[in-house]
Amino acid sequence: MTKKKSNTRAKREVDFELAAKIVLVLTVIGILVSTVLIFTPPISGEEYAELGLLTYNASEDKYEAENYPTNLLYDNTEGVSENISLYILLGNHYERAKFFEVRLKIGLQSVLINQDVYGTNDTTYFHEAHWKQKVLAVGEQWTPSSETEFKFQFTSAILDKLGTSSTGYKIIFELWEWNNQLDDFSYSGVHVYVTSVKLVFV
Amino acid sequence: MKRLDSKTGNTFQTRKLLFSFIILLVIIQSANLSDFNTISQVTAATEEEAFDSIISAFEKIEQATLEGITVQSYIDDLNIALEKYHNGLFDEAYSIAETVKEEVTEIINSARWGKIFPYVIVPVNIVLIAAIVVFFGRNILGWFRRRRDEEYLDLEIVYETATPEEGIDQSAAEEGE
Repeated sequence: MTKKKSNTRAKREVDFELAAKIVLVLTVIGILVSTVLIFTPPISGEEYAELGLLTYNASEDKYEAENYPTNLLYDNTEGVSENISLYILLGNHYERAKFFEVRLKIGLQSVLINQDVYGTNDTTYFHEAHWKQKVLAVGEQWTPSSETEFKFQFTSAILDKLGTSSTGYKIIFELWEWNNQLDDFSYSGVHVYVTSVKLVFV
Repeated sequence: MKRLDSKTGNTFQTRKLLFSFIILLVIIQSANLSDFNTISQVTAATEEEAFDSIISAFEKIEQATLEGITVQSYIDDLNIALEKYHNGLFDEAYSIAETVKEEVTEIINSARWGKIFPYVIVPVNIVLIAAIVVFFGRNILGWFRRRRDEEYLDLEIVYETATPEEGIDQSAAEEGE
């Protein structure tokens, strides 16, 4: 009976050596886990950019995906066509800020543009004066406005390069993004174009 | 039961912990002193310089957004710099871009420290508290034992002689000792 009592009393006393070891082990584990959490990148969803092309409906004062230009009057004397106004909508759905460039190019109706193939100096006319650049934050959208307006004309320079076409032309908008590795813009694969734009010569 | 030395062991362990804590503080603070503000005084910037500055500022902004820092106002400033660049105002574009780059760099550094700080200070505090509990807890426990022993010393054992008819067991009274 006496032996049982002394064992019970010993069990109730705190073993500080053991407690200190447990605390130190837990601390080390906590530090290791915290370090891993700090340096492990978070799991992210799909990343993409969006590019839309709109026109402006002045009567209703809204931007719409309708009434794209199809037939343009081209003044042979002046060597320019009537003005074309198109508006882009650009969205950044990456997990980082992005530096975008929207490139306006004009090509023949037959030119191939897809997510891998972009307009080159051989296949398209680079309307460089109208290229637009913008830095967008995560989740930010560059909505249609006067800032996103592409206002341009067909000129004699374009016709000299591409020639006159009875089937029409493609007005192409390509989305390029800044690539730190290349130290230059690279094609994102995102593009939008208006097809079968025909010139009516007057 | 294995015991530490009463005084020399505690003092040595405490000094080790304090020294480690001080070293940790010095290391962490030195990381904050590593960036130097470079104030660029530009009298005239070329087109290339302006664009390179814009790109450098963008890279800092990209890095900040990757780390989850909101830098919308600096993105707006950088877009203003871009607009000035396209309008041929290279000096202004350069100046704005450089300012954006410096300020975003500072924000990134302070955010990193703020992110790491809890993971540093909490374990350090746990270790310190554990050390305090371990080293001073013995003293507290000793005090408690002394008080308990004093209480036991004050206990008075009363022996009652009982008749067999009343059924009081003398051995039960002895157990009270």
